[in-house]
Amino acid sequence: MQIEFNQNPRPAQDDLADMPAELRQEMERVSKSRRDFMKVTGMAAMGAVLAGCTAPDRLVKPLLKKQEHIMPGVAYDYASTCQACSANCGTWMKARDGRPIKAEGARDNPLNRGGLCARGQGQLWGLYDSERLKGPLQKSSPVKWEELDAAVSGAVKGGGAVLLTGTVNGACAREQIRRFCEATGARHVAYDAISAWPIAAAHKDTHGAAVLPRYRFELAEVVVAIEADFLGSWISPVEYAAGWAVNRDLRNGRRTLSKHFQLEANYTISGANADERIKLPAAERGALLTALANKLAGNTRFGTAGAHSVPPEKLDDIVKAIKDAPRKALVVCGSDDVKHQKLVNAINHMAQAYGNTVDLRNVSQQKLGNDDTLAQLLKDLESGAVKTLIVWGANPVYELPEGAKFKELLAKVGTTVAISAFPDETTTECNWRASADHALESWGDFEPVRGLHSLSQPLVRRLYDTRNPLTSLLKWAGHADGNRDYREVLADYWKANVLQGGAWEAAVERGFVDAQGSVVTNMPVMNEGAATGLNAGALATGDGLEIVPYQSVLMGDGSQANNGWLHEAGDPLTRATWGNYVALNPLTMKELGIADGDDVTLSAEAEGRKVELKLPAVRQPGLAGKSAAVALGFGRTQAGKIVYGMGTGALTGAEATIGANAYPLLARGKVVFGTVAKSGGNRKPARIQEHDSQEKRPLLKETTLEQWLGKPDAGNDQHLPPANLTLWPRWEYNGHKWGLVVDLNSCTGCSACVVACSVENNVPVVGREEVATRREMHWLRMDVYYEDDHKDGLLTENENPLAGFQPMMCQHCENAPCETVCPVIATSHTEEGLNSMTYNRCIGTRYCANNCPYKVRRFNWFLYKHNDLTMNLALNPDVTVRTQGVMEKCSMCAQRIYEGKRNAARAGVKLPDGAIRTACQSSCPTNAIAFGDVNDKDSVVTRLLKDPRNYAVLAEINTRPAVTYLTKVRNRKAPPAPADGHGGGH
Amino acid sequence: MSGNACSPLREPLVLGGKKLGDITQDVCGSIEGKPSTLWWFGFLLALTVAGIGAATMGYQIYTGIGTWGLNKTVGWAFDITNFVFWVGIGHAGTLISAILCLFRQKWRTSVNRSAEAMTIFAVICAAIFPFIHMGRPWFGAFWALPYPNFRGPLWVNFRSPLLWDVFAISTYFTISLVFWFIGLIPDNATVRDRAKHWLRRAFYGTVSLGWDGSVKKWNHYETAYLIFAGLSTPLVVSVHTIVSMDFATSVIPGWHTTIFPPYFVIGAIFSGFAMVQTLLLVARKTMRLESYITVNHLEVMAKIILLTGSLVGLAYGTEFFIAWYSGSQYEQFAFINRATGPFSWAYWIMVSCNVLSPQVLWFRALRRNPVVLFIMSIFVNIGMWFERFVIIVTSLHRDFLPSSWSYYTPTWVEAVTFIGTFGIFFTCFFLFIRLLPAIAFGEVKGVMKWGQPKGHSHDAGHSHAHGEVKHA
Repeated sequence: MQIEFNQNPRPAQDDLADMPAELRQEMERVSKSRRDFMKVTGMAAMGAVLAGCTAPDRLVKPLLKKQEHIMPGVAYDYASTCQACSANCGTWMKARDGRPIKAEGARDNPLNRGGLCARGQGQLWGLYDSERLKGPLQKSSPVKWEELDAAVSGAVKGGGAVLLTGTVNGACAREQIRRFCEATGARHVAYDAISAWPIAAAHKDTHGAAVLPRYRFELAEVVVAIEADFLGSWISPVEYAAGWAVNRDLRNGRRTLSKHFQLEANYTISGANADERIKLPAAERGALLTALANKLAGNTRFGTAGAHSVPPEKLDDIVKAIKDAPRKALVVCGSDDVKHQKLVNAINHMAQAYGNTVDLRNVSQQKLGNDDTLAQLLKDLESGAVKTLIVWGANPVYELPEGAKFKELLAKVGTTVAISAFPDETTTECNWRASADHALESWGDFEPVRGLHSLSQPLVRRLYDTRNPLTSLLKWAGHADGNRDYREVLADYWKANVLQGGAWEAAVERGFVDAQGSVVTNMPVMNEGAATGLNAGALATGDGLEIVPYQSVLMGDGSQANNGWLHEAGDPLTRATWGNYVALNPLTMKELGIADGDDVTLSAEAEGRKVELKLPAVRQPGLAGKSAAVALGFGRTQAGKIVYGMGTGALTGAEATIGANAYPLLARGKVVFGTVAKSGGNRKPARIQEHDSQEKRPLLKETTLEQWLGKPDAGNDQHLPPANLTLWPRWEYNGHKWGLVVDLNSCTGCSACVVACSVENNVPVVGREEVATRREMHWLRMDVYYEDDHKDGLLTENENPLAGFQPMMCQHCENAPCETVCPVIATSHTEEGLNSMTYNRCIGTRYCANNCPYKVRRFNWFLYKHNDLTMNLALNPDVTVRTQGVMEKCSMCAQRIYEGKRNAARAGVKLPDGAIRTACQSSCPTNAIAFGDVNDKDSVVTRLLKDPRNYAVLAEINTRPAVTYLTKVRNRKAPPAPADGHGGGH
Repeated sequence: MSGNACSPLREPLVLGGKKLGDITQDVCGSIEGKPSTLWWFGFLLALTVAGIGAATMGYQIYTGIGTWGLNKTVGWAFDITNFVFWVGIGHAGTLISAILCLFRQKWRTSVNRSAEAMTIFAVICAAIFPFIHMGRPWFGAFWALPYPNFRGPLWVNFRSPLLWDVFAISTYFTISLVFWFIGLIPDNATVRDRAKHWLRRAFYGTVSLGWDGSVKKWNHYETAYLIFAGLSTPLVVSVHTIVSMDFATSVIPGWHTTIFPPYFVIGAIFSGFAMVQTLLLVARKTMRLESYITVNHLEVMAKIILLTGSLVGLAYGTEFFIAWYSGSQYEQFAFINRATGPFSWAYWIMVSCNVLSPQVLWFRALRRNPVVLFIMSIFVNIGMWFERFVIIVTSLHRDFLPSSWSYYTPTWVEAVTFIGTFGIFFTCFFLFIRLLPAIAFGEVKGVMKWGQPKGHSHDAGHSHAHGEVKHA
């Protein structure tokens, strides 16, 4: 049934059209800028929340009296900086009626170029988390700021103070820390939970500067990644993925592909996307790197390489690829052994990567932690030299491998202060807790890459009695700036040191200042001697299984543990949600007699610590044999309610938390060995996808570069029935006809789109138990399929399958099976080719979901409540919240389509291609998703629909979807086995 | 041999040398005295089960469908299985009362009343499920009906098989109810005439619509009865055909099958006769109706069960053949998965109960043995429930995209709801056998020699031709 909508509806309040031209211009300007945030905020809608705030420093006006710059009900974007991790991508935060509702990647930011990862998207949850620290505390009792300030400034003046932070890279922020240390004699120690210090330490020896280089994947024709999940979690994944995708994108007439080798013990999304994935047990890293360096050098000056399991011909392939691409190869390594990193430097040097793909001028400042100073701090804590410890932006009790010991040491320190927005394992151990602003409430600056200065601005007035952390430091240092609004301090600093004559307001409007070109450095030169004779080629030895702790794509270092969106998005490779697990190779499982989902106990000894983790075991094809991989970042105990999986609440305390803390397994530079044994019980992880083989069906089509060059529709030459067979008259699309094309070759499976979709469309988070009942509500899911030459889910002896990812959402079929079966026409075809849901009309027969061949429809089994009332402020007002008993699904972001059409109508122009971007599209770090008007001859989607790689999933049942895919092309030799002559590699 | 209106070569339809007065007394007497302890026990048990079932349904409607074990992949399971199961049960009643009436199968007279009652109660039980399976039944109850309204273009969707179901089931229910009621009129009048209490006279007087047994009334009655038999006959085929289209018109492998209409109709008759047997075997024993519901009756029904059971087996085989012949990998997988996948246990229960167990009826001794027939009928009831479960759940749980494959485990709510409908069914049935003549004795008399027109020899073979004309 077709429901008619106006082609380009006028805004409901037509007075906008009659607005004077200058006012309209002003509106457009404001939509990008954020001139005076205080005027913008303080909405009547926020009254309840604001009532708790004290002493507003600007007048708060209700929207009843209209503000000059803001239109009620219109969302505006404000440039800011993502602080979900220290990669510090640029964001455009969408705020409506004074409250932020969505984070988008800043498209003009040279770092992330428009993408924003799942964790960046998830920041919003933290802002509205009602379990935040709501005011200053002494232990757990509320105090006045004056009391806290008096106590802390008194303590820091007593000497022996240490400021312990995570990475702080902003120029102004670092200046404030310097002033604090100068005034108080305090020492600043920075560390990163997931350290990159070994890379910096190696460069200190080989290049004379302890820096983390900026890796320029966009310049690399050959990428060799060794245990570095640069597409998923390593250092700056969005930046790297965007760069990597540049040389993988075949949509613009490009006829070559970069060659990506991934050598790893764990199975990561980088490995899944590689052209060649080679299993490399952690114990063999040194041997492999030594062998690789020797081969490149043509001698054995890097020492003797131990016997590693990488086949010699594969090693030759890598060497040849690097040699064939001088200045265009890039080797990255995630090993935490400094010797390994020196070998990597030597390899990159031989590949002439320095100055090209490895940038030592605009170095990365995304990880500034220094493990040496951290070690010194631990010693000082033990000796009692530290009298006052201030912890900001770090959670050492949880995330240091020796966290338990740190907790004991903390008790010995006279004054302990935590500056934190959230309760965490460290904060709850500190005497004084200075409640900090959330990233979306405070001013701040960042310099993720030397010369790229980035700003963060508040999107909402403080929800609680919190303070900018730097204001706190200045106050405690007794500095006059401690009494000024930090915005003024920041603006003054930037005007004097960063802007170089540029306007402050323009910088705020844009969100960053790119001064990368003006960075002057004496380019460090490789000291080749420092990398030779390392004798790092021996194999690490130990008893039992190699333990491989890793950062998961969604949970990262665990700082966002109290975030339902991230927990529920599910790991892209195992699709397990809500908690970590012990990943084992299917063969290892068989050997140990462990079945998928069995409870196991992992016992190991790392740096003398005995560690025992009780977790479920999960089958992970392709994991290096004799390895057990465990994700870090789970098993938080003091993060809030979410870490209990949003269950029925029957269990509380440590036994109910989802997952276990794997940080104690980290042993800097050493490989940890341990055992995994069945512990009885079978607490299966809650999984979104339970079957990971395509069963030889042509769903995720794949081919090789060689085949594609010879035949543009390689892998996509499926025989299809005639498309005009239908019972009903064909639709006519006289205006727009929306289409969406997903390039499977660019998609990395990072799942940013999954979280973006949930945030944009108010998709409920249902919790661990409901996911286990297979009722997660995602409108967009990330299907993963492993290459299948296996039976019964158990792969053959030497299995090392690559995997492909397929974002799957409503396909908006022209011949939609769901539409004909609904008895009340609650789902219908629009004249623009969308399949739309009328929630109010739905009676919930679920017939549509049953008849959907793509199984993308989601039913509201219950009345899903949000975590708490403040969480409801994160809801997108443009999208209806669905009630119990109603079906829902992807609307292709209908609200964004209407907004785009409205804006075009208001401006009196034809809707430009690209003016409307769906939430999934705009989150994608690799730009894999294109959306537009198929009736527009010149649109990107029209062009992509003609691409011989284009195909519709299940085209053989003639649903004629509006969502189509482009065949994945890998740069590898072995052609994938044809699936029954239908093409498709998996 | 005396008193029966059929060839002396055939076994009589009523045994025990019953006279007309005996028949009236046997049937009416059972509803005139005080109910037996056994009846009270059965009725209260059924009522309790029905009450628990109703409370569970209320809980589910209030809390949400989430109280069931359904998930994102399997959107129907117990609900629609039960619906098709109950609708199928009803079919035997209509077949016995309508088609066998048109074919002048005289043995039907002693079982048709209970079979029709069973139809009506089964359709009531069936209708519960489309209602409670909706996420928002409070809206669905009236949005799914076509009537003039002010909602503009939002009317019902005539393309949806679910809407066809609404029409099919409501038509079926209405016609079955009226047909049943008309058949009851002469018997109700007899009960009225025998009644001593004014309340009974008033009640049976109302439900007999002023029947006076005149020739003119009989003439009208017979005509009306024939018309309704004619109207009901296509329903035997159409209702389950339409129910099968819920599946056949979809795209899901295992559902998308043109064989479904005949397959479902045969299955419905199969399951319906099994249920009639279950009920009658109990009724004839407990209410001492062996003279009316004879072993001959049971044997005739057993033959129908054997025939339809084998046809159902043929349909199962045909599905597999077509899946192979289609060359469609999805179709082939769906059927291999049925027999060998995670739900293969359900498939093999279905095959054993529906195809294998009726094969014992090839033996005359076994199909005349009430105990064997009772056990077999229970097997068929179970098997036919599983047939619908297999079609619905195993097709859904693994369809096109392996990423969505899942499993389904029912919850206690679904189980109690299903059991509750048996409570509702038996509550109705117990009330029926206490309140209304459970055997159409007016018709039974017609198949005895006293029922034959005067002047004809009762042992003449052509007396069948007049069998439908009866006198009180």
